[in-house]
Amino acid sequence: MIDVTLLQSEVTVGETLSGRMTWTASSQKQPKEIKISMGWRTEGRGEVDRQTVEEIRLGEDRFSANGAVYSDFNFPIPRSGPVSYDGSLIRIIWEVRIVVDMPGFFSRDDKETYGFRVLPQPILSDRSRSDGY
Amino acid sequence: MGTDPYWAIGLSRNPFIAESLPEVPAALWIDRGFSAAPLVQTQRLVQILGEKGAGKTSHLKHWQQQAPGPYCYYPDGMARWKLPPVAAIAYWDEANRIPLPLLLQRFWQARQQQATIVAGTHADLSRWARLMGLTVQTIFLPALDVDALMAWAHLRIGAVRRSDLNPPQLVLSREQAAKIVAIAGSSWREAAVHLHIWAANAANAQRQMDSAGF
Amino acid sequence: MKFEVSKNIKVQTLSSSPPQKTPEGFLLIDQDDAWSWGKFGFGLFFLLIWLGVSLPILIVALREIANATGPADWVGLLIPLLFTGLGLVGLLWFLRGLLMVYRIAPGELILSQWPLRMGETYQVRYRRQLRGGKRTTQAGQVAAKLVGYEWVRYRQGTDTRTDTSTFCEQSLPSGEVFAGSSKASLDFQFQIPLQGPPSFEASDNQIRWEIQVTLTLPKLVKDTSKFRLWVDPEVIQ
Repeated sequence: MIDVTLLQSEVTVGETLSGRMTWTASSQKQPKEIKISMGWRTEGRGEVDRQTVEEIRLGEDRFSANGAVYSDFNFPIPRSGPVSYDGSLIRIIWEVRIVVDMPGFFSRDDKETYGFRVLPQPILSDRSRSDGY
Repeated sequence: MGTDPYWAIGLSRNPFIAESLPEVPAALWIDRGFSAAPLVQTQRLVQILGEKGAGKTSHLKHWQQQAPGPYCYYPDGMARWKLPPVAAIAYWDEANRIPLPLLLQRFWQARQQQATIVAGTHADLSRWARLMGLTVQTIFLPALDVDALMAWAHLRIGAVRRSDLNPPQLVLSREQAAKIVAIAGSSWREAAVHLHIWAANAANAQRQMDSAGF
Repeated sequence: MKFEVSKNIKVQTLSSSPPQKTPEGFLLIDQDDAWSWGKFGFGLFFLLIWLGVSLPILIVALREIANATGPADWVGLLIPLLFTGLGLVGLLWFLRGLLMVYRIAPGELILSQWPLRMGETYQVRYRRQLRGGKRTTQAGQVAAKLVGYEWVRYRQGTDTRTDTSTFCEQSLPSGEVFAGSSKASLDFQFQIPLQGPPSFEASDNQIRWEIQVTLTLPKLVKDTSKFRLWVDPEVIQ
């Protein structure tokens, strides 16, 4: 079972999204790998665009005998964004995605996604007006 | 996802996002009178005529699920110079783009094999099919109407509702459907774009109301 | 311990040309107004082929009309007439474009700052120069607007379709071009709305901001230049 706690539900560009992922085994099987990634995707009337911005992979050496794994993560949001957006034709959705890669050809991987919002950076205007003409 | 506008109206997402695959899931299929697949091995051309976005590809794909056979899509330009498949039943999409020599040869082949050719087309191919000895059945897809659009929208909205307990707060009124039909003409694709915008606006409006404490 | 972090950060850039930094400010040029060997060469080639095929057919059809015995014989003239007509319309459109490029230089927009931010106000100068020392003989008009819209693209088979939805359209100050002018110019201000959204550019989904300027010079040109802006995810407080 996957559980993620995000310290923020909203984060500004340039800041860091922090959280903790916990995975507990529901069977005797140990996963081969757990991947924690953060990225964005589009949803709407266009073909889907997506990008993984940050990723952590946890190998077998992280898995304890009692089958529980936890990992803290700190993912910086790029200053260039994009920001979360809910428009008429497009949505831009930021997510943390957990994929637990289970061994065996017929095994199904565990997957969960957790959404959060990315906001623009508020700034004080400090640019001097350069009237070049 | 407290700030997700679609959650605010009881949906997991916008019901009208573009699908990556052209086929319509069975649960979302709207019967417009032509849901049953053509029979195989009938030495016949079954042509489905309609404007862009009217649902020709959707019907071909729906029939293919019932009567499997090779499917071939014809793009514009030089890539259309390829032989369409002939089998017990075969599906040709945008068949009006098939160069005439290839079309005639394949119709002749279909007659030899007593095949059924199912063609989505903007132009009437019956003359060429009959010339090569095939019988012809022509289906004209009916124009988009308010009732069909409302039924389809209802299905799509139901497919993304978050909970069976609370009905979604997104309902397409007859008046709204009529406006969309008037703008979209015969194109379901156009109608889907307008429905997407309508649903997005409703979701965002609800989120703003919730933020303002209403 | 097996621990791996991968980075795959995409830098958002404009597919159109970024502005040139000049002493006047940040200069944007509407490339669609400019001469392009590719555009005009292809257009001319296509039209020559089109007319090269349709005109001889029309001539043959016209000769056969000389032997026409009834109205039904005229039907054979309709198709070549239609194709030749389309070709001639295309040629006129091509020549109009060529004439405009000959008469007037591409539109230019000079911005005080770049990139832009939400909530910030910008000084802008638009100008468009007549070529070859020409001057306007009548008064004209320059009208500008700020447009923000979503752009999406999707594919069905190998057919590609795009859709747009405008979320912001603001009329900006307009101006007059006096008779006897050698160029059209307009100075104005605009503000990117506080609520944005910022620009976004992916392969099939984009959020675009543009300044669109329509120049009307009677007997010379009526044309709209479009200048793509980039709005960063920053909001002025």
